[in-house]
Amino acid sequence: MRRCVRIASALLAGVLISGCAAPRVSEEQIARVAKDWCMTIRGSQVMPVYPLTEDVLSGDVFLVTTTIQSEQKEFKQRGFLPLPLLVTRLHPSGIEDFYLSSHGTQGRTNPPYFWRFDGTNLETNRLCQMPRAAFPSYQFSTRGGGGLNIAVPIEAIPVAINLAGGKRVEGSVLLSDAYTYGFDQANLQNLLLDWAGRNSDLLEVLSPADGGTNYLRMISRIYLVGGVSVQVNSVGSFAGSASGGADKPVNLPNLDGTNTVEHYTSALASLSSALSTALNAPGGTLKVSSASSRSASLNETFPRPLVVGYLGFDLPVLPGGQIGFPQDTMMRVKGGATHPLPTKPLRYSADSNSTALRAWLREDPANVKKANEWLAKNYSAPNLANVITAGELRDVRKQMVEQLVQPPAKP
Amino acid sequence: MNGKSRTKKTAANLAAVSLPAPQTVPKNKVGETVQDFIDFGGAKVVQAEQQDAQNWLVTATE
Repeated sequence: MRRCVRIASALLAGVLISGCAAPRVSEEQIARVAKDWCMTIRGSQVMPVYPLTEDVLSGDVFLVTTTIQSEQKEFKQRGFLPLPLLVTRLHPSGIEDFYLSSHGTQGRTNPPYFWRFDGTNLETNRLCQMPRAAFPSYQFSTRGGGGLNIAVPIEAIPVAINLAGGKRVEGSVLLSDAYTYGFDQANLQNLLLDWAGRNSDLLEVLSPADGGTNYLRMISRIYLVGGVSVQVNSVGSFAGSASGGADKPVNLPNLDGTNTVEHYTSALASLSSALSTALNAPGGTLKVSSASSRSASLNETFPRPLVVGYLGFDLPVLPGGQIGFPQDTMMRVKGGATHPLPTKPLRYSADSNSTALRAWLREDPANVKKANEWLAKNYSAPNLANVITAGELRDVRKQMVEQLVQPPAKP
Repeated sequence: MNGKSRTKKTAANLAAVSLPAPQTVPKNKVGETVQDFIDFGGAKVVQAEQQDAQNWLVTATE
């Protein structure tokens, strides 16, 4: 047994040293891995959170300042959208009614904390009562693993890569212990509109001054994972090796030949223990579940579940601090057509700008395109047909006429 | 006339991100608004429904 520990420690030292000495992974490679990771989350129709955090809640309202075009471009290129500015954290009520007192919500008012912490003991929780979710496995392949823990915030990945050895590896990550909770949009939207009514001064400041559009992004549902399982297989040959294609001997104690299952199990336990100690994962565990000459499998448990993705909706902040129509975040950043959510019908209130705008649009089909481009750049949410006559969009119409229709119409 | 009318037409060359929101319009502006929804709003099917003696509700349903 002591021999096992000694060898496992030696192997761990090798792992860490090789991690430090691994070839530098380019920024492009890291970005690609991050994008692959986020694409997996997106594949489940969930907006990815990157990096992972436990401090994103249903009811959080973020400010988004990029235009819809830049946002769509960024979403395609990077795979995720940063959430830079938290405007406010609203606390929706009615978790007990929403889940009909099930999932441990009876008498509770502070989601998700009553699931995360069981009283004052931070080591225990009631997550087993939280609604469960499941994600597909995430496949990846890369050369070397030195920078992967920067791109993907899971310690098990670089460790597994180094354990499996090889210059080129393929692997998969399975998000385990996935949970979710959220609120209905009607509840959140009313809460946000109430807040907006009380904070119109702040919203006026947040409305764009340069003709762009800012959005309030309301998080309605979050997805958390409690751990990951990483499986890595070494493929191809080692760099600089004369024995190209040959298996790399992993120095696990006597895994081949005459060893018993007991020896193998104790070797894995020793290695898991040494890894967890060396990586100093606070409260979390990193356990080697299997290892061979060309593959390694590790299970990592996070100290507390982390948010990997969310669902939400966006509301444009119009000039003057008004709030526009809500739109589904995922649909909007993907550039798909969206039906406006059921809302109070707009009022017909045509004015001189309506006449000027309609005449200009009918003059040339290219003008319709110009007008839609201007709207997408500046507001995106209102539809051009509504802008022509709706009383609520009088200011948008006026701006459009002033900027696109020449000469400017007189009020 | 039972209070409802439907118009169908294909809109061309539009890049709107959303269909028009429902709009309440005076009776004499229904035709003009339906035409706006189709020509400029990207709507393919528009429904107009009488709300009261004066007003109609124009809704893009597709």
